[in-house]
Amino acid sequence: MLQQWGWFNLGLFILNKFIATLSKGSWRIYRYHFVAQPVPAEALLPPRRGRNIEIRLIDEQDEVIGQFPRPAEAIKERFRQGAKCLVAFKEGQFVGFLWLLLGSYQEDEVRALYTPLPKERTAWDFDVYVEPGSRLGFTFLRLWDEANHFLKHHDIAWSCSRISAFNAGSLSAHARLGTVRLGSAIFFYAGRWQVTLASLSPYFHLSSYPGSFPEFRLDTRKLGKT
Amino acid sequence: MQHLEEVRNILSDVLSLGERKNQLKADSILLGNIPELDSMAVVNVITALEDHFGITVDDDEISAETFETLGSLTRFVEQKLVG
Repeated sequence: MLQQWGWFNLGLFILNKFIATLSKGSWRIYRYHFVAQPVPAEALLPPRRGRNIEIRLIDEQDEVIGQFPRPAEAIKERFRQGAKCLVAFKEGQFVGFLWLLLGSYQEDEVRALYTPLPKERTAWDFDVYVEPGSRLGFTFLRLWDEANHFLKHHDIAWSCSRISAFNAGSLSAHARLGTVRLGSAIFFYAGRWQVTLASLSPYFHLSSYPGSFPEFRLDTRKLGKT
Repeated sequence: MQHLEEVRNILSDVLSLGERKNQLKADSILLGNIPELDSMAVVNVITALEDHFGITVDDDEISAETFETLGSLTRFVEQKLVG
């Protein structure tokens, strides 16, 4: 764990567990890395791989949502923001999903707004989930190939996202997709207060109610063309 | 398992294991023990095994049991070579 996370993240993780237990969950710490990944010209999977996995773009009425391991309210809010959901099926069974948003994303774990820039060339991706029994297979890559196809169709060159610093698996998976780090932020919750410290603008933010949040403008223009 | 060394070399090359390669024995756990072995790496390992041994692996043959240990992966390759 230390090798994967480093001392700082491991210390934060332990501190978070400690204060969350002491405060019965009202005090929490989150640390996110903001990353951007290029939309590749080539598919990630060889053509003959993953053909038995069907990917479908669903709407908020689709019954498969009932199988999502996420609260119904969170799913509703994502569609309200205009997010697109790609769902993977293997032999008709739900095996995973991936969310995309062409525009700003209001975070549902902490108080923050993420705005990928330039808007016409950059998207936001979030919550990539694969059922435990399918994690060794090609579902993850099929989802991404279909997501990239969708993004290219909309002339998107980069997709930004945030990854928990405590999720080593997600960090390494994104790294293999060619992600570039844009910065990071620590969110410290204490009751109704949220203190944000970030390596990118606005660097510091103090919030006392849900309508008050920092906006992170994640600019991919300096990353060049893909 | 006569192909153990070759499978170990392929695994090491694809995952860039470096010195960790020498710790890999037949009963070494792969899944969950080697962080580099994610779904994207599995594609590369399978492709490298197919190219090296001249075998064809179907999607449905790729399972957690196959990738459980270096020995189980080698046995899988040797079964493909026989079959």
